Amino acid sequence: MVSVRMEKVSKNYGKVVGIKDLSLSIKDGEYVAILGPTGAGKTTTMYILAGLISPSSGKVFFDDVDVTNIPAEDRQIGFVFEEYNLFPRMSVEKNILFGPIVKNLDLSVSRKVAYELLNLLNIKGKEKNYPDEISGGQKQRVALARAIVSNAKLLIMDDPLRALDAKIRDILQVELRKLVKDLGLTCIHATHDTHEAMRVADRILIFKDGQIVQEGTPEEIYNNPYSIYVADFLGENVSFKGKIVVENEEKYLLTENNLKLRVQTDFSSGTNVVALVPLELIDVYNKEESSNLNYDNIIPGKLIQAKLIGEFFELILDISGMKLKAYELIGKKNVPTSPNSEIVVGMDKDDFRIFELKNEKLINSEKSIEDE
Amino acid sequence: MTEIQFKHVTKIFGKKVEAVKDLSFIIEDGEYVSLIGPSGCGKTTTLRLLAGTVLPTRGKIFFDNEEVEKLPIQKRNLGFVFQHFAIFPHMNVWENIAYGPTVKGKRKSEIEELVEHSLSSVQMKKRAESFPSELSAPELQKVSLARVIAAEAKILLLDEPLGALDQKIREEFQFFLRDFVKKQGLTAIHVTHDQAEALSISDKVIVLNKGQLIQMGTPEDLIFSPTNLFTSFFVGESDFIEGYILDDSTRFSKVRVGLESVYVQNAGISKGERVVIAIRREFFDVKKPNKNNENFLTGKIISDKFLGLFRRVKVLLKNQQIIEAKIHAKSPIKFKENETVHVIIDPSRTRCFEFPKEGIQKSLEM
Repeated sequence: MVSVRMEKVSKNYGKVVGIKDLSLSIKDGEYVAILGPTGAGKTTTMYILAGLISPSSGKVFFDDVDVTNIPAEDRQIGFVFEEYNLFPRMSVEKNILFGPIVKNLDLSVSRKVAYELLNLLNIKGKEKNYPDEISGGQKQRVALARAIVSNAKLLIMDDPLRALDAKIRDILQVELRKLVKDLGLTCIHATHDTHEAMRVADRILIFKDGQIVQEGTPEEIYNNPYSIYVADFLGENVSFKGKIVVENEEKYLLTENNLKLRVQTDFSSGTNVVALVPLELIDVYNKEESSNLNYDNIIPGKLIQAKLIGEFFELILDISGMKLKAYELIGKKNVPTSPNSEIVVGMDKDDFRIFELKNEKLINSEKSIEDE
Repeated sequence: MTEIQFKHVTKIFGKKVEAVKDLSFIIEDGEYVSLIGPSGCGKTTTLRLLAGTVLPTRGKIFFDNEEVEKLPIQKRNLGFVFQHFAIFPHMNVWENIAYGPTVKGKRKSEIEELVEHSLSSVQMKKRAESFPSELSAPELQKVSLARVIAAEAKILLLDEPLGALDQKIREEFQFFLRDFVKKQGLTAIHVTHDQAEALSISDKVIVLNKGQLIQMGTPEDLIFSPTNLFTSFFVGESDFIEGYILDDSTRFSKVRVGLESVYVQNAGISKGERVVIAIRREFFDVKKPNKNNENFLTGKIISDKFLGLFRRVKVLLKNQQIIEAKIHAKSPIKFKENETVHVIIDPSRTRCFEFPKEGIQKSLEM
């Protein structure tokens, strides 16, 4: 339990910039996810917080105490990596108790905590097993128990679930969040998986080129991405290019292929824009249902192809000669699936994420951080 | 094009590690089949048995009704594609593809014809002179596929073939791969840890656990009609609600859950029996209490969490079980913690299984 703050921290590797002037703050007991592609500076940030590397400039505070020059072993941090890094010649129990032994903690207390953790993590009964006798998911649970057992206040995890099967990843996402919340830990979890970040975290920081480009709760970020970069990173979108027009005080997007879509935007009439709609917000119905629908935009079209991809149907549609994709949860009633059937698409005006298009190039609607 | 049959195949490594147990299935000529299951379930062993690099301890494997063990390796007509390409780095694309036919001692003109044909089958004619180090990951994988064609393989074995590709490219490549297999008329067996990939690429999927075949079926079968608890659990996300059959005389069985009752798919389980109702999380609907609601269980909201692709609504049912519904990201109703709700159950979208003797937890062990 600790609050964390980074102030204008930079880290250069020779000429390569790892992170640049990065400031962030994490509240006591908060679960924060760092989301970004490879090379965005996620790992550098984690290593600096852990004290495994020191920043080129800037400061790090835990509970308002400057820890910039305090070594890793004195920071009360638990670290979990993508690779489990368990000692292969030690049993599960010895692996977990390694920290307390080295730190000379009271072993009777640590052993009790270790057993509680094993219980919480559903790996009771594996204490005497060796790492090569347990599965990947179990190894990562042991690594987690080891990270927490010596009174860690801050848990830092660098893509901890990446190497695991989808099913195990699902299960561990839930367990991780529960464990962190039950123990009241402050937690930072880096991942490149948007869904994982949304599932585990209270708040998400989106990284790009060593800087934070947006932060907020999953819902805030999803509903209002500041840039095309963020919208694209969050998931798949359909994009409409066109011009904003105003009629009867309502704003519309007139697209290149002459669709007129009611939208909600601050951009004024005549602005060239690109509008993105997440595929899961494009609602598709059989044509017969169109009279019962209540959307700002209802557009007729044709279904080209429907494919079952797990929890969603992936629908390929033809709307005014434009080919687009939509996702429908399979739980929805009457999802159209027969090819060539007549369909209608429903989209509300706040489904569109709109960005200005300048000189035929995509430019973020928000001022980028580099300009500050 | 070859039909593959496994008849009661068991493979034991060392003295006691049963990697696959009494495995029987038929893969039809020209079918695209994926193998999925938790790590250690026997997927890779099954692939190695097909390849002939390990032999069954018991049971038999047939290619077109001929026992594989009796077929010399060069007559098995197998092609391989691995996650890590396995392409010769010092040979250009053309030479890599020509390697197989050359080793087989084909005539020069024949080799040239085969390589040209193979290159065009993967749309890589322009890259014939390139070296592997100049190619992107999907291009390297196309070279592996061209090599399969040049070797005149009929069966394609794929071990995590898309594992080295980025997510977006992966999806495009899935489409390419399936199209390629179908055009070339190959029988394909694809091992993957990515369920979504298996479901979207295959004609049929085999679910394995602890070396045993749990279910084989089309993607639709696995999603809409799982035949057992493990498939319901492993493919996608489901919740399991415990109860007792009250009435089994109609199309839908009436099941007592705690102090309430709901109708579920009739699975031929008789009155009084203890059962588990399996429901995929996207099949639940959560509504505010209303006298028009039908076939529901009452509960209290634990959380309503937004996730982008959908929302997850967690409900504590009256019988103290927790279920989680996946609902549309923009669904207009928002729930407050502790609010009383009705969890609506569509009987046609439920599955009902006998309560496993060893308990639910144990029966789902991976």
